[in-house]
Amino acid sequence: MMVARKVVLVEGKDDEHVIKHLCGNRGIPPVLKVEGHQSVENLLETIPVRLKATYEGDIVGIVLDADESLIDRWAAVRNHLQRLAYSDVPAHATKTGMIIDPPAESLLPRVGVWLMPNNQLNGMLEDFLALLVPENSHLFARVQRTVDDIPLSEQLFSATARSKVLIHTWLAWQKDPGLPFGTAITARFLDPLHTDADTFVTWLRELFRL
Amino acid sequence: MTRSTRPHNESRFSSFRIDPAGVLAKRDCEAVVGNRFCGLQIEQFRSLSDLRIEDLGPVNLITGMNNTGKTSVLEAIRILASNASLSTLSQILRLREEDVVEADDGFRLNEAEPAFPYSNLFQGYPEFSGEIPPIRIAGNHGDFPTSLMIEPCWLSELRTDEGVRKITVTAPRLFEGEDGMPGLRIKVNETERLLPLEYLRRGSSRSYRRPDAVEDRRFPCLYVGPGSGDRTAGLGLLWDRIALSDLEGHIVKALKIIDDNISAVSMVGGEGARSSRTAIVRSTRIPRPVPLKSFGDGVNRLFGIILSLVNSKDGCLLIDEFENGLHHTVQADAWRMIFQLATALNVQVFATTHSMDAVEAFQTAASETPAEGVLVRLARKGQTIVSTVFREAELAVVTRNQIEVR
Repeated sequence: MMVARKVVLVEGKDDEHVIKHLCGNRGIPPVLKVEGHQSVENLLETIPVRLKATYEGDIVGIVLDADESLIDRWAAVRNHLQRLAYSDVPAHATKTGMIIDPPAESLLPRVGVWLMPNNQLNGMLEDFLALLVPENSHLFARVQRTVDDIPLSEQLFSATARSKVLIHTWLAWQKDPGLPFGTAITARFLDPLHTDADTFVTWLRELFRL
Repeated sequence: MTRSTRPHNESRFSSFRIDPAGVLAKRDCEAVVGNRFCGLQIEQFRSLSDLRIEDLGPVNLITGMNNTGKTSVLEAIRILASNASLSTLSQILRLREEDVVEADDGFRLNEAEPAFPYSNLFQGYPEFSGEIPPIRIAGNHGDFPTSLMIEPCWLSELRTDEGVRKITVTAPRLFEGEDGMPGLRIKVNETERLLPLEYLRRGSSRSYRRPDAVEDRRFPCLYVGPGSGDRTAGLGLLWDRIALSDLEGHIVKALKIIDDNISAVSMVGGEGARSSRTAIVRSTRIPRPVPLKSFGDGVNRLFGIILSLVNSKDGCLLIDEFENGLHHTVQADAWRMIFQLATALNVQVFATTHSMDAVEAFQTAASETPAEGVLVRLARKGQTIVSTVFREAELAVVTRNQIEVR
């Protein structure tokens, strides 16, 4: 008999590393398999098939960016779940992360959905990471001012990429400059114990019963 | 506990989603198409307590871990396609060597507990006098919707006033010397047959029917076993049906998938001293015909598969453990050929596999051909086995993302 699997489906490598380092720093045992999907489109397309291809006792978490519209992204995920016969999928993203059990007679897994950054705002993984910047950091205030002071004529990034620019700049200005997200968490340049990380970690623990 | 006198309660039959007339609830199938199954329901048959498969396609690959009933699904289709003929039931038992158990035992008609050679077909290998829920198999088939039931029962033989012998269902025999005979009650759609095990045992072809005799509505349904062509002798009859016809060309074309030098194939023997048949081939590299067997497992496996396929016109073909003998590099070509021929000859194909290579090859071929390839995964849920169907579009996602569906 096969051992039930606990899988987190994510968009890409960054999500994968953030989750692994968060778990490592918050004492979640290394039992989660985090699967990257190269892009949000690819992940969305994969969801129905991935959920159908599970075995008894499997649990699947899905972590997606809300991007420009939390409402639209939620609707897309909800639509997939409803088509697979999950009932009681909430109409709106759950503040603490959604967790639902499958219909009794089906082989579908228990499933959880988290929309980055916090199931309440538009945005992405980088917005979630910005929440983990140590509070009242003068340096982060300087990062924000500096980025916002770039004259429009010199600004190469689009407005939607602002949070990416902030977090990468923040990490560029650390003692060990330019660490990737995951290792930056372990190095405490992003604080894994921050209360804003708690909600996410609690969601993972509850979903996977850890 | 003894069996009830009455044949098993009919009311359950009506709660069966495929009703006796074979009409499935609409939501079970996207469309009921012509000469094929679009849905199956199997109850209390071998390890399958209640399996439903919906949205079957023209070409279907059945996957699942060991002991999830893949072969049982093929067997259920064979039983359906033959209207539960006795020869099919005994062939199925013979294939799994389940007929030998009783061989030395004799037929214990005089003992309280009758031998029950068909026990293996029922769930949990029951004893005859136990409470045995009937096997029910239903297929939503475009032309031949079939719903059948097989259950053990006690029978007795009467003579009518006109002197005609008649078999009827009777009370369970509680003591030796009473005149009840153990038997099977087989109901196909509305037609019932009562068969004393004694006659089955003797290999008697007599079947006892109610006056409305079973109409013969069968369509070809050939089964290719898991053995990778260790014997070509049994294929003689199939060969004779297509020899010198246009279909012969397909066989050569199939063998070329593995060895491009093969230019012709035939079967010899069968008369005089040499009673068994042997497949022989001509190769451009060898001056005289040589036995097909010398070309290895792959060629022999494909010979068996394609020969059976071209003989299944307007019917169905069942292939157990497709990948046996076939190296993964030739599997996609083999599937292409199967998809093309299945469409051309109107054959519905069911194959089983546990190989991920076979799944990928299946998907590749499916995506290149008009006929839809459907994957049916069987998996355990508690004590039961359930199916998950992946349509061709989903299958593309499966292989693209290397999702495990074995």
